[in-house]
Amino acid sequence: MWPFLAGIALVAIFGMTLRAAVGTGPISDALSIMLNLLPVALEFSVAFIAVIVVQQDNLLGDRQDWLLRPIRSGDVMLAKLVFVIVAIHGPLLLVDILEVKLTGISFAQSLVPALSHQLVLFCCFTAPALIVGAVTRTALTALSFVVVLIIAFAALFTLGLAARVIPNWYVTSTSYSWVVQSATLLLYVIAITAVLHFQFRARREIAGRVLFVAATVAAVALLYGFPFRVAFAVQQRVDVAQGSEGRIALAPASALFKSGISAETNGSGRPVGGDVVGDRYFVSASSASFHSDQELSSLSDNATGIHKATLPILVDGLPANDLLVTDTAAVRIAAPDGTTLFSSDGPVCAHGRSGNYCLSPTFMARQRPVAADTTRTQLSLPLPTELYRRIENRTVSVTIDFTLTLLRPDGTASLHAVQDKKFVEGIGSCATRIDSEGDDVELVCLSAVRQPACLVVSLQDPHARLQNPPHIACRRDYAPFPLYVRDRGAVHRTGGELPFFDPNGLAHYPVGTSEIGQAQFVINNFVPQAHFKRRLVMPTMRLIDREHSS
Amino acid sequence: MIIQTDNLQKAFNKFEALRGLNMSVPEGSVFAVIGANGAGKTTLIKVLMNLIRPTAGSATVLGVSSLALSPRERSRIGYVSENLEMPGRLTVGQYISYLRPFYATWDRQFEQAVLQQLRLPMGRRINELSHGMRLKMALACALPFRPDLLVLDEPFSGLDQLIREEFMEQVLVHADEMTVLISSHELSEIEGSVTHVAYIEQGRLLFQQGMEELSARVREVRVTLNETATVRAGLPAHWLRVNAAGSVLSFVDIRYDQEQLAEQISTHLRRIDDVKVTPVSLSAIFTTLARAAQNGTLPT
Repeated sequence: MWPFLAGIALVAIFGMTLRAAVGTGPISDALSIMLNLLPVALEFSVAFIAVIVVQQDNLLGDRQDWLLRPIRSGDVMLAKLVFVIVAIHGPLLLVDILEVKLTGISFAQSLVPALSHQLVLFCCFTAPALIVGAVTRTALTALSFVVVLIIAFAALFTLGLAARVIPNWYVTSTSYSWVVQSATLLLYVIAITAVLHFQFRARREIAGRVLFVAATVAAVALLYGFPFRVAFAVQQRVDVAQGSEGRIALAPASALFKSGISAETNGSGRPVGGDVVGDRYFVSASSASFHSDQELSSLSDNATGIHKATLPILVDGLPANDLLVTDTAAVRIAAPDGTTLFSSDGPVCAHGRSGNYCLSPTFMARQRPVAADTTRTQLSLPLPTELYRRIENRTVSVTIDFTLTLLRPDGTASLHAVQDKKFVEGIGSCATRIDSEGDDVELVCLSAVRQPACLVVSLQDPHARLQNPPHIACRRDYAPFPLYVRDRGAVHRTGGELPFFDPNGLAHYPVGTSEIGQAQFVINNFVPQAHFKRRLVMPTMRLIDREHSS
Repeated sequence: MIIQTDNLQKAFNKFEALRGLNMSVPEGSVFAVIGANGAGKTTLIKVLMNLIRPTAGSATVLGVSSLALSPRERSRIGYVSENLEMPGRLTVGQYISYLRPFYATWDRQFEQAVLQQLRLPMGRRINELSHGMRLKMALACALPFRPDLLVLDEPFSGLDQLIREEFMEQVLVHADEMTVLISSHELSEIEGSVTHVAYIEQGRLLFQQGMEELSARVREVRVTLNETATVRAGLPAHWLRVNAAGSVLSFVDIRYDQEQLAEQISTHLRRIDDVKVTPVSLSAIFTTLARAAQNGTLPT
């Protein structure tokens, strides 16, 4: 087994070396694929070895010599557990610590992301593999068991979706996902402990398998069925409001709104308004004309299915410099007589050429005084195309119940816009450069710490006191502790682009080509301080009053 | 009693492998469990060793419920079976070294003596050993800690005569230090050393007896008549394997009593010329009983 263990360590070292060598530099598609595949290979190798470790002293059956020796089955279980922790996760932890250390943070700080990654790896791969090994006889049987489980789950999930038993949105797709993930991990750890204890002590083969399958089903049910109100309540306990959100109120602006025919997504189905776009997440909800190349190409792919209405709204009582973002929204459109024409608790979904995509009503607001204490922003309201066409001439009332988060500034950092490299507190080791097209400034960061919930980034020329429109980008993660469930490793690469030049000549930037040499890439961090609910009511409106744009 | 079962039952789905077995193994005995294939011998041993759980009833081993056998009891039990799975990737020497620390009573000199006598290749992997070598290996792993109870489940299966003799030599040399429970078809190998016998048929214990008593109550009888011998109806049920050849009527009396035999012979047979009574080997006892059970003529 030692060659396998050495192989796993070598794969981890190879991945670390490759990522360190690339650093914040550009990555080709081929390299990107390899860097994405290496963690996957590592995860499955770890799971495979865990199965083999358990099956060295097979539990199942009645012919094993060790069953007749003065060996406590509990000791066998503990020995295997300690072995995988020390011999598998030990070297991986050291590699993680080293990789995190290379991003520039201290040794003490590097322990947290490294341990977190190993904890997630253990809970999601090693521990389940230990159980699968305990309820099967051979590696092949174990693989078959897992394949059958996956197929069964996929079939049930599809049926559940079709029967609308499973909702089309879940808490795990919101910023409160850490609550669900933590609960699921806890459930799984308890279940794993129970199954291992049950299997090793009682040696009941069928019961062990049933318990494992039941635990998996329960974990999946928890992931997709966790009540949002519970997650919201937990989050409110974590980020205890100080009262500054108390005066915040929403109201429709009196100006006409715009709606667009096209459905704007990033190809992966995530709303354009300030969401993470793979590694590049600088997208603005306030200036919808700025898109990445990927998003622009996706617009033509997803031409039907959803109309996105853009409505100006007012936010009263927003504290200075604070940022307000939407987490969830429940929409109801009613006729004047009260008949519900449309209602949705979650995103509006449609099918496009790129696949399924879903959009939620969303806005972001940062204090830009229109009147004293009032901020104007734009609400993006997605509606099914068919509905829009049916009711566009009708007077309707729109009521939206939002779950909102108020974020406060938590530090500012800046880098030179051109060819700078710096350690940014709260993010990681970052570098800037002009992209290959010469119209955007790229920021690439190697991050091992919890990133801020939201960033407001902009290009500024401090000498000329010029600034391009800021972009707001938010992660869907308000976790108060580092639980790196989604990130495949202790260090991950992130960043984005800010435009400074429009090759078509349509947009003109205050900080443009002439100023970019002395410009600064400014990053403002925001952390959550309060989570609350507000209702926006637009009592009468006609969709036909919108301006259509193609 | 070192082993005791009370109404022991084991069912595999609808198949009843053990049906209310009540058996007692005296301490210090060499106790043979005999029976046809599928009688339930191996199932019984596996239940005693807590490799499988009984459906009903109970068993105690070394004074402890078989379900509660702890490392303390297991350190006093040696087990040899033809189906034992040992870690094939380890060598003989490595596996013995691995086992040594688990037993406080492990005698290294004894270990060396056993290994020498069994002539096991220490550097060879277990999965490279022949069947006979594996059994000798299992015995080498079961003796050095001087167990109080040595359990042998079909230890001679597939072994040639030489290895059988080597095997039994090792067992018998130390048999007076422990209790031996052996299940086997190869009764000729153990006949000279067995002190007690239990006969199992279709999951039931048909009888359990000391070897002396068994030998005393089973006899082969040859009656020479002054006429052609025929097998008549109405003969005593405990006369098994009744056979007529010429003027000789032979049978195995499984409830031999000298006076009663004479009376029964004179009652059921005529023109008796001679009667010869001879002891029966354990193999013959087993064969007789097994055939009678199969034919449904075995008296209860």
